[in-house]
Amino acid sequence: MKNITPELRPEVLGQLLLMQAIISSLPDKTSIFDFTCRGLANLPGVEQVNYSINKEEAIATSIVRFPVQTRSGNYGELLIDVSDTVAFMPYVEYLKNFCFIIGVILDERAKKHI
Amino acid sequence: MTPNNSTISLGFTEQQFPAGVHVCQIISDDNERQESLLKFLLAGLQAGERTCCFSEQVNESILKEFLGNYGISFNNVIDSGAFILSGSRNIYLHENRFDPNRMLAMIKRYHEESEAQGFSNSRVIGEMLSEVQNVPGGNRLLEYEAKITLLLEKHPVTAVCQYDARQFDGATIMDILKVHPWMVVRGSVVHNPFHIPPAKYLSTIKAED
Repeated sequence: MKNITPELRPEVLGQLLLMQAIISSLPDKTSIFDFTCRGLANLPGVEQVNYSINKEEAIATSIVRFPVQTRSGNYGELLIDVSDTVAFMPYVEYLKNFCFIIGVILDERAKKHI
Repeated sequence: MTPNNSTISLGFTEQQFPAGVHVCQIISDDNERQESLLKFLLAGLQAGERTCCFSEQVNESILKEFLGNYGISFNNVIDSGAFILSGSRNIYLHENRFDPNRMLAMIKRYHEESEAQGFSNSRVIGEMLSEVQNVPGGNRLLEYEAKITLLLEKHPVTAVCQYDARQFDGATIMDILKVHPWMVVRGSVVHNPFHIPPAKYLSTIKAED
């Protein structure tokens, strides 16, 4: 049987980096998550992306949760509906980091408003 | 006139570019918007390029003072045709509709006239209005931007499109990125990894005629 090797595409990593840079200049949480969901829908193997401010209890088996949180803040979760696991898998760790960075950006904004 | 193959300055970055780049600037701060806009205009006029500005954020008096600080007479550059200033509402919302074909024809004509008048290059900066989305033709905004990229291959007007992230929703900002080959990130212009080549993008949409 042929071995399927997941492929990590550099342009996709470039997209994640660019999104991080732009997110920091978006005006509010709504704008940030609208932008993020639309952008992450371009990831290989992804069908669609939704944001939920609360933890969704019942989700489809094709959906992977990515909490957006830091030690000091919980900002909901991204729910990524995956249609091709092989294509998607190489980006999982990068996505965890990406979500953490969104959390850090939101932490910093929250501190500025205190 | 022979085409000018040298590189140009956008003014707000040290980088040099070939004429005809199509750049998206996502704005979230009024000072940043005005500073970029003024530097872009100044760099064009100082380089002898024909320069055009569609914005509601600057007016004659701001430009008179700013350009005067650099020894450029606002009246002279207007009178000579080197500089064109218009409110973006007059341009993008002409007759209360957004007409991409009219805009594309205008940019083409601007380039042809600039060449005929002997300008080394030509440039335009435009502040896109969120109201465009709510008028007839507004659903063709992304098609328009993709067609601008195609047009600039033949008519290399250097173009910077300013979009205010406070006025456009986040999903639209992402869509806008997809139709600009270059974008400004923290003052630097970078290749946009989200960009979809215009021919490919246009083949995926059904344009209204």
